[in-house]
Amino acid sequence: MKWPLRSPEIPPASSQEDGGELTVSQTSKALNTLLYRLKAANRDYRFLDLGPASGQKLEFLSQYGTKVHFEDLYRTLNSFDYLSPEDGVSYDSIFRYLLPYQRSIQFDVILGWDLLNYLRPEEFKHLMRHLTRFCRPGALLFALISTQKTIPEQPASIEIVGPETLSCKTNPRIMRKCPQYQETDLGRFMPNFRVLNSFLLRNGFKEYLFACDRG
Amino acid sequence: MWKREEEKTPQPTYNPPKTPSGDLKERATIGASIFVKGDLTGEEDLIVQGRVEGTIRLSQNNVTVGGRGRVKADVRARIISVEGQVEGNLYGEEKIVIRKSGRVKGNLVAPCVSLEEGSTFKGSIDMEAAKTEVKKPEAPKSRSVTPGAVTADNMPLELNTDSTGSRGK
Repeated sequence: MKWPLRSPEIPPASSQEDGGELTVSQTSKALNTLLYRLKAANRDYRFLDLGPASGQKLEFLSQYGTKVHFEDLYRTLNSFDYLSPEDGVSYDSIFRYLLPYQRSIQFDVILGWDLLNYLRPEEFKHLMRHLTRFCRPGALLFALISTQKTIPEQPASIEIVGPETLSCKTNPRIMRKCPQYQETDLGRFMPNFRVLNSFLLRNGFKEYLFACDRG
Repeated sequence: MWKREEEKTPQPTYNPPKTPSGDLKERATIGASIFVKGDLTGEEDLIVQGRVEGTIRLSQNNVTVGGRGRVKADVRARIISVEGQVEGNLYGEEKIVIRKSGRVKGNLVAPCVSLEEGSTFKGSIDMEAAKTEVKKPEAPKSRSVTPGAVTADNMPLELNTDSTGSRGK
C-alpha cells in the first residue's frame, strides 16, 4: 500500500496498475498472531469478514473454518441511503437491519481490515456494540487504524497472501480526511474489546488484534 | 416428368451434451425473455437466462444462471454455477461456483464453494459438509468430558494474554 504523504519512494513489492491503483505486499504480524492463536485451539471457526468477498480469502480462511460471512460493509453502508439517523432511525436499527444475524451465531474472528477508518464515530460505536452481541467470548478482531491525516477515498482491497502477508490494492490518487482514531477512542467505542497486540507499520497504519471480553 | 433432384443443404443438428459415461444429458433452458414465478423441479440440468422468482429444486442436476439470468429464489442443485444475478440461498450438493460476472446476495451451503475474481458476493458461506467428509482420526473411546472442562470446542481463543495486553483506551 502506498500512502502519498509518506516518502515518494516506491515501497518494495509494489506494482502500479491502470487507473492509478497500487498493489503492495505487506507483512502483517497481527495476522500471524491471530492465525497462531487459531491453530493453538484447533477447531472449526466462524469468520466475519467486513470487507468484500474474494475467492483468495475464502480459500485461505477455509483452512481454519467452514463458516465465513462476507459483508462488504463499506459498500453496503454507502448504498444504504434510504434510512439514516437523520430520518430518525437509530444506528442500532440500521445495523440490526444490515447485519441481521440469528442469536445463535457466534463469531470467533472478525476481520475489520481498514474499514473502521471510514466510519464516523457514531457508526463505529454502534457497529461494535452490535457485533459484540455475536462474538464468542475471546473472539478476535483484526483491524488496521490509520495514524495519517488522510487516507485513500475508499478502503483498500485486501487479500490474504500467506500467514503473515497481505496484499493491499488501493487508489491513492483521491484522498480523504482520516479520523485518526486514538487508543482512547477505541476504548470508548469498543468497551468490550481489549488490545492483545498492536504493531505500527511503516505506511502509517497501526495493526490491532483485539479480544472480546464479553461473557 | 423430369424430376430434378433438389440440392440438399446441410441442416444444423442438435447434439445434446453427454455425461462422462457417454449418456445423453437433458438440459432445459429458460430463455432471456421468459419470466417464471413459482417452484421449479425436475430431472434435468437447467440453464436460466431469463427471470425466475420462487424456488428451484433440481437436487440431482446442475443449475447454471447464465449471464443474462436474474434469479430471486432459493436454489437446490448438485452443482450451481452463477454468471448472472441471484438473490436467495444456494444449496449445492457438490459445488457452488460464482463466476467472474456473477453477483450473489444470500447464503451458500455446499462442500465446495468457489468465488472467481471479479465476482460479487454478500452473505454467509457454510462448507461444513466438506469437512465432515474428511476422515478424522477417531477419538479414544474412553475419553470423557467433565462438564465445564475446557475442550477444543469451547476453548477461548485467548490462551495466554500478552504481557503487553493493554486496554484499548
